[in-house]
Order: sequence, then structure tokens, then C-alpha cells
Amino acid sequence: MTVPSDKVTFLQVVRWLFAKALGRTDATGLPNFKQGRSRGRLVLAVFILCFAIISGRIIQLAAFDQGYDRIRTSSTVNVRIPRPDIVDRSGFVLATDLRSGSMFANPRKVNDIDEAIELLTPHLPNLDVKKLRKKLKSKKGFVWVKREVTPRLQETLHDLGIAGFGFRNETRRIYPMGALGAHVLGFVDVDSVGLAGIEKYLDDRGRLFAASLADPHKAAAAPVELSVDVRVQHGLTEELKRAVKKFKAKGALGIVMDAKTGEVVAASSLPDFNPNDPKDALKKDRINRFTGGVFEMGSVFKAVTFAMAFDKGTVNLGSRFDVRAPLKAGGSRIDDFHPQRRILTVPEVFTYSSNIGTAKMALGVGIVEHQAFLKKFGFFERLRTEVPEAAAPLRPRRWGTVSTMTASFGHGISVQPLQLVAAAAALVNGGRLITPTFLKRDAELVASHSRQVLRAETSRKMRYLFRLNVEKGTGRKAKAEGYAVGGKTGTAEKVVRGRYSKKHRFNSFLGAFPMDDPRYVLVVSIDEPQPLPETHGYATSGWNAVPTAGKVISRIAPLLGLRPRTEPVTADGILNARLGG
Amino acid sequence: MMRFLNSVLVVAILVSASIVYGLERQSRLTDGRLTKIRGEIAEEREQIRRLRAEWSHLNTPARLEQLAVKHLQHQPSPVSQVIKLNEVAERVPGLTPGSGAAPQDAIAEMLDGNVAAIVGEVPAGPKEPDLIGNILKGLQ
Repeated sequence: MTVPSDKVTFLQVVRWLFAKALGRTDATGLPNFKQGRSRGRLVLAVFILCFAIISGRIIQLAAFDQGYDRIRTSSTVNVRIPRPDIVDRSGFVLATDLRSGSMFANPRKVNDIDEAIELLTPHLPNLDVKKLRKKLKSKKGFVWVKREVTPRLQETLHDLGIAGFGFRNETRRIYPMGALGAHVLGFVDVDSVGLAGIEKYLDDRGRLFAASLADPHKAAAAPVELSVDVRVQHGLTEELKRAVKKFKAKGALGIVMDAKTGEVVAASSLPDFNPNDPKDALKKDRINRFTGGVFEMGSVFKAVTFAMAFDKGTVNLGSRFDVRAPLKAGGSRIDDFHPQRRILTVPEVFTYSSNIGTAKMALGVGIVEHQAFLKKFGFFERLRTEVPEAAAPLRPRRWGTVSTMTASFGHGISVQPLQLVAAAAALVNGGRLITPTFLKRDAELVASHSRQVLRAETSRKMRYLFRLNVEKGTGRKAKAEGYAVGGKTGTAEKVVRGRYSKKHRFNSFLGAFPMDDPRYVLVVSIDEPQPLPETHGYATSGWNAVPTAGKVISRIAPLLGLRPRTEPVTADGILNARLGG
Repeated sequence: MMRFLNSVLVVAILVSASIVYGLERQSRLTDGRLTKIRGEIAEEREQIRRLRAEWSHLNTPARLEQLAVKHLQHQPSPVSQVIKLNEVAERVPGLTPGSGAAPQDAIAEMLDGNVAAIVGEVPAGPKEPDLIGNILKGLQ
């Protein structure tokens, strides 16, 4: 190959190379550029080259079209992912986004008002014609004709083709079951931002969880599965509503929790609100009472004291307490509501709900130990669940002997009712304290959300006492045939203007069922129930909260899949049963 | 030779141009169809959401309770009605173990008389479901 001389231009070299490729070079090594045929071949060669490049590219695209796909997919990622639906544990939709169009008109562009109205009225029977006519005659540039039109109707109206009318598409959060479970669900504002309940959780602490449900490729999101069962929720709410009405109470709350997984199956707080129209939700009496409020729970708290004394070994079922004289506590005295004025055994202290006996039991354990025990159960910290309304517990700033005595029977310490339910689950389930959840929980994950806080033997004694109290004690009216209920009652006096009031009560029943191997724990509280003639003028827990709890259990236990049993489950049977569960 | 080649090339250009045009047109049509089908899928998804919400609304326990009270004579079953499987033989009349003449489907026979009472009349639903309308109506 001859190297071209330095006088030859770059263009000449290119030509020479093409010519060489065609096999036509003269002796000097440079092409004979004057020959027309050679020029023609040059053009030909360029064309062939171009075609070759284009076909090569086509083959490349055809054979390796994954690259093409990737380009397409990446451009669809930016699609807005909708807010996830919220469903109950069996899949019923509790909250969903629905698109709806709203019809508007630009009166300046409407040519014939009468014709437009004539065309619209057959499709919109509820239309206020007079009002619409007035609107269309105005000089505004924008008036609403009809809000929230279904897509089908929207299409029909669109096809009418009336000039000056149009649609605006909006997304609306809908709660198909209305007020059911409102305090758990919460609600959103007009921009679909959660303001309370699980809805707030999804925009707040649960943002990562919500993002994990999203599928960007389909512009869709998997639903949020609650632990709540709508049927149980309804049963609980309905019975509470009846109780509030019957006892003319200010409010009520109820929680049903799975004792083995910590899943809240139902949680209700009255009065409630409709999340489709949440304007009532911010009223002061509509607060979420099961986590958003703290209460002095009263005697139901005694169960915790008993468990402590058993667990520390300072007391056993055979121990006796002298309750003949009221206790002096600072400036006041501690007395019993049903004074027995004799020496009581431990089960009697429980079933007569003796304040004196329980206070003595706590003092026997010691002030420091008592605090440590309550702390271990989480009563000194704010319980955090998915529902963001979480109130911090209240306790005496300086914990002394009086604090221990009053806290032993649930006064002077205020906790979230859900906290107490979680503690009760530990008392009866063999001693495991499980963090409650409002979301469906994998059975395998329960262990990582729980810790052993009591000996299994202590739990068995507590099951015995709970069952005994419903068999013979203050909880008799909570009996639900076939479901072996057990529990503790409590009538707490509320603080009114800085003093405990005898007339303002907060009554509770804290229980579990079935008592030989508890599956569910529940609390039912009624806020300020009034005495009735049929309750013989009494308004203590045994006359209102306890029978309400009994009705709740009879109603929900079949829904929870528990088999009603005809064989008796006695307290003694529970105590003598082999250690288990 | 050159003329022949030239003419072949011209024909090739025309043919390939028309093929490219055809492909381009086809892909544009396909793209249009794709967009339309995507739109339809979105519409169907929306419809499914709506129907699911509607189904949930119709399943509101309070509503079912009302309907059950109105149309059925059912009552909560007492504990005594629940028996274990191995007790069935003792409880169903005429089905005593050992007697060969026992009817094969005693339970079905017991039910037969009550089918009408159990099923009753099914109320006709609304023609055009208007969920949002219903919910908003409920608020007023």
C-alpha cells in the first residue's frame, strides 16, 4: 500500500480509500478522479454504506429490544400512586379513593339557558332548576352545576354536548361503612392528607410502610390490612351505644384484643363521628378514648397489683389480709366500697374488691418494687401504636407510700385503656406482654413484639381469680353462657374541680374469655353512667359496665369463631389444671 | 450494468420508504390503541374500586342487621343448639344408630319445610348504583 504524499488533501485520501475498496487504483497509488464511472461507483459505495448502517441498526433494535422496553418503562414511573385503600381483617373496604367528576358551567359561554336546562333535567332529577337558572344568568365565569357525578352519568352528560358546560375530575376519600371504626380509621382533609387515626399514620410515622405497599409499575397500591374485624367492631359499638343511651352516660369505650397476638380486633369510642363528613370529629367529646385519653381506671387496676404480689412471692392464694380498719393515707383515709370488716383471704380481697387489702398487698411488695413493676408493664410511658392519638400516662411526680397505696387500686395513676388491655393480656396469657397493634400481624412476628413479664404460674393464679370473680364476685353479670368469661370490675370516681366526686364515675370491666385458655381480652368502660330505677339507684360498675361487657361477649364470641361449650369451666378447674398456655 | 444497479437502488429506496412508512403508521396506530386500552383498563380499575366500595357499603353490618331483622325470623343460636360432630347421631330424630330404616337425609328433611321461610323475598336493588350519592344522602 502506497502512502499518499503530504501534498494530498484529506478529502483526496478519503476518495482514495473508497476507490481502493472498489479495487480501482492507478500506478501512482492515487485514484484517477477524472473518470466518471469511478465517481459513480463512489456514490454507490456511500449509499451502500448508509444502507448497511441503517439495516444494522434495525437488526440491533429488533434483536435486542429490551433496551427499548426499559426506555418506555422508566417514562411511566412518574405516574401518581394512589393512596392505599384500608380494609378490615377479612378484606372489607373501609376507606378507598373514588374518582368523581363535578359538572360546572361558564355562564358567559352558555348560549341558550332554557335549552341547556331542558337537556339536563331528564338526567339530573334532583336538580334545582330555579337555582340553576339564576346561576346561569349571572355574569360569573364559573358556577357549579352538580357535584360528585358518577362516571356513567358524566359520560351521558358529556355526550349531550352543551356548550359552556364541562367537568372537573376530583378524587374523594370514601368510607363505605360510615362511622364504623371511625376512631381507628381517622379521616383526611380535602387534599387527602390524613389528619387522624390510621389515615394520619400513613402520611406520618407509617410513610415507609405506606410506600412499601405501592407498586409504581401499575400505579397502584396494596391495601392496608387492619387487625379490626368489622362485624366484631359493629357488635361492640352497638352494645356500647345501647349502654350509653340506657344509662344516659357521657360516653363509652371498648377494646377487644387478641390475647396471643396483640391484634386489636375492635376498638370503639363513643360518641363517634362519620369520617365521610368529619366536621364533628374535632369536637372535644369525640376524642379517641381508647388511646387518645388517659383515665384513672379504678379497681380493674387491682389485677395488676395482685399479679405483682404473686410474682414477687410476697403473697399466695392462701394469704390473709385484715381489712377491719380503714387505712390512713396522708390526710385522707382509704376505705372499702363494700366494707367486710373482717379478715379476708386473697381471693376474697379480689372478689369483694377491697381497697384496704390491695393497698396492704402493694405495701408488702414495697414502694420501689411497685414502681419498677409498673414500669416493666409500660405504665410510665406513652404507649405508641399505629393510631397516632396517644396520650401520655399521668402519675404522681413524687412517688411515696400514699402513691403506692392509691395506685394499687387504680387511683392517682392514669393510663390509656389500651395499655391496661395489653397488661391484662399478659396477666392471662402466660405472662407475655405484647405490644398492641391495629394492623394485621403475622403470627411469626408476635415473639419479636412481646416479652415475658410474669411467671406462667402467676398468670394461672390470675386466670383463677378472674374466673372466680365472674362466678361469685362483682363480675357476675358479665356471664356469657358457653364462653367462660373472667374479669375484674372497677368503679372509679372522677376528679371534678380537684376533688374525687361520688356522683361522677368511670366504670369499667376488664376481662378475658374463655378463661381456661384466653383467646381475647376486652375492656368496656362507661363514662358517667346514671343510676336507674331498675338498677335500684346504683350506678356502680356491676350494674352497667359489667352487664354491657357480658352482652358484648355473647354477641362477638360466635363471630370470633369460638365454640360455645356446655361443659363448665370453673375457677377451681383452672387452678388445678396442668400448667400450660 | 450501472443503469441496472441504479434502477434497482431506486426501486429499493421506494420499497423501503413505503415499508418504513407502513411500519411507522402501524406503530402509530398501535400506540393509539395502546393508549386507548390503557385508558379502558384505568376506567375498569376505577369501576372495580367503585364496585368494591359499593359492596362494602352494602355489607355494612348495621344495614345487614336491619335487613335480617326485617326479613328473617332468625335468632342467635343458644349454646344448647351447638353440638359436637360425634353427638349428631344422638340428636337428629329418627336417626338412631342401629336402626336400618333411618332416613338418609334427616337434616335435609328437617330443613325442607323451612326453606321458603329462610330464603324469603329478595328485595330488588337500585338500577343505577350511586354510592357517593347514597353516602352523602346519609349525611343529611
